[in-house]
Amino acid sequence: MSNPLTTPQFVPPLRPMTELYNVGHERPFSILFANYSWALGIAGGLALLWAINAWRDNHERVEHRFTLPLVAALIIGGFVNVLAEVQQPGRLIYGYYLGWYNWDTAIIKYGILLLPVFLALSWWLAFQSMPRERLGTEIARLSAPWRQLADIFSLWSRFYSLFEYRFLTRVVLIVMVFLGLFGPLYSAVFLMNEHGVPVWNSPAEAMLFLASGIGVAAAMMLGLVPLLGWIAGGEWLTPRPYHRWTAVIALALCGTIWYGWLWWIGRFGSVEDLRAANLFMGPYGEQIFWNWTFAGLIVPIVALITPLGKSVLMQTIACIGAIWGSYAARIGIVLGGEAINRSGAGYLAFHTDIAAFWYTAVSLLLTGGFLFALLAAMPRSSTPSVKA
Amino acid sequence: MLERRGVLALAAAAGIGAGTAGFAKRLVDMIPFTSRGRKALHPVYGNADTPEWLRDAKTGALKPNPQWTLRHTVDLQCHSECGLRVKIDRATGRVQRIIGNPYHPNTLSDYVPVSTPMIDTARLPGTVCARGNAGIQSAYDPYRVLVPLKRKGARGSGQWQPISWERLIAEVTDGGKIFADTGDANSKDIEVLGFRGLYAKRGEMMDPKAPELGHRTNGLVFQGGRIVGSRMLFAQRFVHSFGSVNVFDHVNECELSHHVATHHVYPGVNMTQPDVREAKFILYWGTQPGDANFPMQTQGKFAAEARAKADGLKYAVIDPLLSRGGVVGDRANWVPIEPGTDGALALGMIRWIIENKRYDAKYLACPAQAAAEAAGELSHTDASHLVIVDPKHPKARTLLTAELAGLGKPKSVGDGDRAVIDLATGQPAQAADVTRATIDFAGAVNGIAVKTAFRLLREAAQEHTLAEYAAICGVPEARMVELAREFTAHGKQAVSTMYRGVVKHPNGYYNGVAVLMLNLLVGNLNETGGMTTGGGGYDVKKGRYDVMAVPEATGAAFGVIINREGVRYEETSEYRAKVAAGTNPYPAKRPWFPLSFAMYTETLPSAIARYPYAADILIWHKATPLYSVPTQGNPDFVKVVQDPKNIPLIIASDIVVGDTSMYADYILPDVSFLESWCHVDTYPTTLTKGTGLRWPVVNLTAQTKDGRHTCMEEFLIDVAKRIGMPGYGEKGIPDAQGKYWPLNRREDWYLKATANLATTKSVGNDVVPPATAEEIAISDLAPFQKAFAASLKPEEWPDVLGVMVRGGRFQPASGGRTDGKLAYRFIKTLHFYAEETATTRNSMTGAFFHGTTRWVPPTTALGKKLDTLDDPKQWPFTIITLKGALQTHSRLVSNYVLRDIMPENGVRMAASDAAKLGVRNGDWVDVITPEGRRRGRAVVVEGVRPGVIAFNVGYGHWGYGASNYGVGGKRIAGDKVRRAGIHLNPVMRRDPDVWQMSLMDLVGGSVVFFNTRARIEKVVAREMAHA
Repeated sequence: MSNPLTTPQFVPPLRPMTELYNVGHERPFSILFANYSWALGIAGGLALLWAINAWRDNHERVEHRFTLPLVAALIIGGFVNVLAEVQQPGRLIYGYYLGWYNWDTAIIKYGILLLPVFLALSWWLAFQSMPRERLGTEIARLSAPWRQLADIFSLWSRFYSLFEYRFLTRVVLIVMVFLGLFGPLYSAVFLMNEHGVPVWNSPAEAMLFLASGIGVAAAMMLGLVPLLGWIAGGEWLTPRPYHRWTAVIALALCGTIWYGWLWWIGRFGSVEDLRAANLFMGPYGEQIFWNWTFAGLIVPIVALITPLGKSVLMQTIACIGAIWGSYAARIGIVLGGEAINRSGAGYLAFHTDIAAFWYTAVSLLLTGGFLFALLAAMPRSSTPSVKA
Repeated sequence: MLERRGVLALAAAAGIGAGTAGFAKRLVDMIPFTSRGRKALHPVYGNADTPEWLRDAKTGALKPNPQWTLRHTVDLQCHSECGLRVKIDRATGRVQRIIGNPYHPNTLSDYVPVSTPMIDTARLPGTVCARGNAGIQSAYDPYRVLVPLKRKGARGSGQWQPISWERLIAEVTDGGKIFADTGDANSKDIEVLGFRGLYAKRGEMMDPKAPELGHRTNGLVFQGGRIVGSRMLFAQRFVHSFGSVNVFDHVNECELSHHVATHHVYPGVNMTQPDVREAKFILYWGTQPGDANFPMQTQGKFAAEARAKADGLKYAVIDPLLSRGGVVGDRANWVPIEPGTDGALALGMIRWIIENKRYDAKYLACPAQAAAEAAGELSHTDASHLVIVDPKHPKARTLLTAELAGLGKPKSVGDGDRAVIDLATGQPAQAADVTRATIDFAGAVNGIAVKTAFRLLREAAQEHTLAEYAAICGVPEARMVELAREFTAHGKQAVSTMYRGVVKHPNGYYNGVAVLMLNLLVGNLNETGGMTTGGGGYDVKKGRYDVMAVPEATGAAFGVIINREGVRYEETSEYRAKVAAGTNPYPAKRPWFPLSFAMYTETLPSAIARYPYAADILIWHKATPLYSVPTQGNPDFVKVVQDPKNIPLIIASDIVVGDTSMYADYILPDVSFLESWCHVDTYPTTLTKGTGLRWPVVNLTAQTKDGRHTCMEEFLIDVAKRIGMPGYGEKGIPDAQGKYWPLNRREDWYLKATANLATTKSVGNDVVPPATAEEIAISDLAPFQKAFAASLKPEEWPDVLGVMVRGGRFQPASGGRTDGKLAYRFIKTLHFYAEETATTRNSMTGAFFHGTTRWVPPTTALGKKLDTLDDPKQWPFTIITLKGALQTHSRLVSNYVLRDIMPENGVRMAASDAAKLGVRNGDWVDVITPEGRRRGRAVVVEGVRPGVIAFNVGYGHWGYGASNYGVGGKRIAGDKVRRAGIHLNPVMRRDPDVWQMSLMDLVGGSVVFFNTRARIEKVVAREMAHA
């Protein structure tokens, strides 16, 4: 087995399974888990940045008001993917309910607890992030039945404001920071539940997904969150400039972790890890480079690091590139890890799966639907903090 | 502003609405909790069973877990027949788990000596493969037939009525108009002879003009599918006592030419195997370690061990198909050969080896065993023996004897009575008189034109150039030479071994002989790392009891077997009559197979064609010829099988309503392998002597009134007793003192055979100790002993229970070698030249078969080359079959755990062929042969030689639970899981020269699986809609 970073020629003794093996090698997970991992990781990154921002009392900024609807929508979209993937959601839930103690070593049981909390908190804080008076004014205009519905939808947020209680705010923000870290880390760690799959059982993967979640979230703060503000209110509001450098540093960290990781497993990894490295540097190498390294890391970093990086166009390009690349990285790791036959004989090439695409589309619709619903509920801003 | 909000609300409604609709199925799945599982039994181990053994935390000592009964038996999920440890819940009596029996040589490289107490094997369980583990589902198949069934309506109507055991026995024994109640107009008036009526004709000749056909009782035909060892002996005992010679299993369907070719080279031996662990180079022809061959798991394990050594095993797999375990790492490689041309490659290698003098000349020059041993060799060949080549000589084609050579009285007989040319003097001499003889000689001795056997092989090999051989087999000449060089670079630690891929062709016998002759050139038999015939098994027939003896019926069975095997056509009255009438006796109506045995595939067409005679009673025992024999599932043939006028009474001994037993008149509920008895010998691969004991670890079939579980044996016993056959009932089995013991139930017979096994002569450290009280408790044998106490003498029980506890009797692994050499040695003369073959004529053409091997292209029975029969341009593909590690035999269809892994087989084809046809992996394709069309999914791989398509056998069932049928008016719904996949046997090539005969190897007798031509058509969506 060649070392992918020290052997000049990456000629892995791997050939597609379809060419070599006759025994079916089914992947446990499809791209739906990559979707789930991505949505959850980005939601966590966004929540983390939001909480840090909120700690600094920037409650009128665009990222304060329009980030959490996106977080909530991403979590819902992520859930759809994972429930579609496991195919027996009822059994999963029931098993969880009755089988907690059976999952002593299973990280997913913590995810199943914390992710609904994450969703509920994000949903609630999305409304808490609105000025209470404006929310109250808008709801008060509605007829009685719609008013009741709106109160339920907004968790009665017109009647109180978290941010009026400093200590409680700090407690909630700490919880949000924890969940914001947990989301990206869990988006990698839950793969460890499937034992014996190379690269899925590495702390580097968790660090990578955390850095990726933060990097993409920062890029979204620049390129997407203002767009949401514009969609909701018709005004383009400028986010804080430090997101630019947060994105650059986090994305650079991603590149460092990724190639450092491959070097590590090439140098110290097990045979299975080496095969994985050879797959990423070999048959998958071209796709990985163009979609992840180039589009997802180099383009956003270059776009943001130059003086032109202050422009909306460059920030939008950086955001799109980071989103694209981070998704490609998850596709590569989720599908690439399980693509390798444990005998080492070959790997699976990617094959389209109509059902996976179907639920991907469904999750996009639901994510968009919930996002738009929350944006529609946003009160109109009469005193924008900073105009573009 | 309101407009913007309205658009957002609309988008939200659209997104959530469409998304929810798209997710509806999963939501619906999420809501009901009907299949949500149940609370796990244990917080850590969930619902897993408790272990078989309990460990004392303080002392570390192990003790049996009283929750379980552990019994050692023998597998039958495939013919490797590995030892099993079966874990049975004492509370429910249900089998919970199957692992390997550590006493059995197949399951561990260093298996446990039989002297080891069972408790000491707790930490060392043996292994079995996935099929072995899945065996529970064969026994507990929901489609099991547990009570006797009789057809309701016409044969194959799919309607059955349950009947009592007593009625089954009465009707099939007494005969008469037993189908009057079926409602089938075609058979209601047929007078069936029944066993009684046929047995009454035991003094009558089948055909007075053809006395060689034997008695009328040959009208009883026992066609066994999967039946081996002592279970076969039991069936033979009944059928032979009845007065019929027609009892056989399925060998020619499976691998017969392999056996016959092996007989040619290693006389009297069915199978040889490499000493895999010590070999340096092995040529695997038509088989691959870890994927097939005997025993599958053991071969794979040994190859893996040998491969891992620093200077260990290298091997080449010569096969059109690359299978799962075929090529792993840099010590193995794949030679994708054109199907059916193995003989050409082997002969090319032989030619190169001879011309480059890479053979072991010192070894081949030894004309007899004494000379060989003096030269330090462990075997000898007939390389130097002289063959009479003058076609006009009355003894033409035979080996020159001392008398014919003018050397006086022979000093030996048989293979020892051979004339050679003394290498020292250049003069003729008796083989026994010389130490070294000339191997390459052509000339005259005593005026008779002769050649040495080696010379005949050389000339045969030189009939084609290496380039011609390469063109035939599709393996480049350089590769051929490379293989030959490698094969001859390891002394005697190189082996050429084969299995059915080589021989299931019209030229299979010659292919097989060529492959085996490579071994003779390096002289590897009996050598460490060479070839072995193994230690064989123990005799269970004689000892304390003579379980086969029925003195009153001695000689009752004689005559020609219905499949025309083991008899030369020229010895028949038919032949003589034709010659006397001055007509050309050739071709015979159907081929005769004088060199073969168990010509299973010829049973049905021969019986229906009444050639050489008809069948009155046909018993299909676990036989499914309509599914498993190429071509016999074709509609025309099924139709004639369904006509009761062709075979009046068909009884299927089966565990399900199978693909063939669905056409029987009665189904007698037989037992699965976990419920049956059998003594099964181990394979040469393991080098030692051993016999496994299969015994009923559970009982599932219905019981007779006197408490016996229904099965084939109880059926035969009851029939025999009802018609008064000797050897059954109170005067059943004689012991060594001549005293007779009753045979009223199967245990009466099998326990006595087990007593023979337990007490037969030791070969060293193989005596099984009597079962201890603890072992009897672990295996819960006390109730068993009590139930069958009268079947053995009291003093025999401890030893018999000991063998039952161990699951057989096995020589320790150390017994396989003595002083670094293989302990079991075969010392008869090995044959380059098979006199018996050479003096046998093809019954269709009258030509003699070849005494040595040569390249023979595949033909029909009358000699038409297959390429001219089905033009390769029109039929560009050749169909081959495979048996994967997860699916081998048709009966595994009930093993859903295996189907979960591989639910379909598909049509395996080369990526380059698929690209040409625009076929992608998973596309539906039609496989069209000259006989019909079948549909399956394309499995596109590189591991198939272009121009070849392969399908894994065992899929595409129509019976065995795959289709609906009715029992007692209740509809049994078929399961689509069992229908899944494609089965091409029914559309395989029939021989145009003989009615309803598959293509056949007329020398070796194998039916042909690998020479049907086909073309592929991609199925477009429109056709799928119409399908």
